[in-house]
Amino acid sequence: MKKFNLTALTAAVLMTGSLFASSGAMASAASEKDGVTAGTACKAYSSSSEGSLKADWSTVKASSAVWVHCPGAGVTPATATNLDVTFNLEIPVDATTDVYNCYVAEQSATGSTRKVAWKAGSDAGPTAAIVDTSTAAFVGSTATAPLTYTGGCKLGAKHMLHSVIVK
Amino acid sequence: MSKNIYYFVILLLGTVLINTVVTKWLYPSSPQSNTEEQLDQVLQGVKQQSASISALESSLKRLGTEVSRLDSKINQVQDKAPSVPTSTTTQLTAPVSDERLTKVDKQLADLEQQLTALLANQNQTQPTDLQNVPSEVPDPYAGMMPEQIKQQQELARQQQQQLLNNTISSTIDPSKTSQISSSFESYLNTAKITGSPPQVDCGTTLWRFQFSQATLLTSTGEEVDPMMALMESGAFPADGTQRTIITEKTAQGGMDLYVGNADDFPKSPTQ
Repeated sequence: MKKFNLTALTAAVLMTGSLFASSGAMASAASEKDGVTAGTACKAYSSSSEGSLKADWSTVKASSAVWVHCPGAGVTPATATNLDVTFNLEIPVDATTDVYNCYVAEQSATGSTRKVAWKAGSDAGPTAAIVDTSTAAFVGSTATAPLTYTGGCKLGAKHMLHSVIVK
Repeated sequence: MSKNIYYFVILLLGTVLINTVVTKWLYPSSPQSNTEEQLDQVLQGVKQQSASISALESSLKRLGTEVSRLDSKINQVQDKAPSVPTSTTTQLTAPVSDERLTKVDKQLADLEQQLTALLANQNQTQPTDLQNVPSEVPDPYAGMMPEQIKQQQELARQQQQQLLNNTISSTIDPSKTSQISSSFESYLNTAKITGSPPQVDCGTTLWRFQFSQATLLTSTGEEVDPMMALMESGAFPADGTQRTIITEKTAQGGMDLYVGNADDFPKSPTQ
């Protein structure tokens, strides 16, 4: 019996350790999502602009000024009003402009009503543009469901969008 | 004959005497006596070891009794374990307040609402990018039927638009209006975007752009979203301030845009 008890205790300790490790990994996966990866370039603003986007497996690089829009798959009205969306940009010092525009938008199915959280700034080098949808201005749905969500940035020539991280 | 017997007896006695003297001289103590003492000592040791073994036996018996008693205790505890009430069962057996039931009902209604929204959006979702995040806020339309939600949302939209218009009208600032208006028109000209320029009205913290058409056109005929044009126009300084834009398509085919700093934007009537 004592041997059995020791065996059971050892197994319990080992299993508890595994569960903690698993839950830690799950929490990390749930709280942070790296968006623009796996070669999926977000939709460009207009057809003429699509050709100026160069996408590899981790970065979207613009050869001329272009809007990049990323569909917010899975974002719901309940979650969209409390997000921190980080656009990890890189603005080279020799770029024609150091201004970035990034946004997160909520839109009704007909497109008749939209609500946008928008941030514009200027920077050089690695830049994190963080758009917060928990502000009083964004909270409160005034558009008729179903709603769709989009996030994106205006990339100047040579600007790079490395990732979109939603927390 | 009797003399011979006499000598024989004398010789025998002398031999015995000499033998005794020699023996006494050679072995001062009796070997038989030593053997007996050694045997006594061995016997004594055996008795002592026997006593020790008996003591050990006694100790082992006591240990055996103690182990049996402990096993019995462990069995009793194990038998009782399933019947020990857990904290969950204690909570369940305690009376649940109406307030808690109301909260649970509200949470269930919220979940149902989210599920409805998910099902409504599932055909429009696309892979990657802005993914779902578990953080949630209370849904003001929880527990309502879809038709009721539409009515409430339309009412909230109208109320918010009224609030925005009232805020702008009550804080109108002609100098800001002129500045923003000329800056935006300058951008439209530089970018060769055609179409009627918007009617601009600026309040202290809120700006309104009224376009007569929902889309603008470039010189090459491409459609331009007025909201995108406004965002990249530079009419608002790129100072890192987060702003909010609300766009509304008008019944006349135009589009109204309301722009303000996120922190200064009036709250939605549904909040």
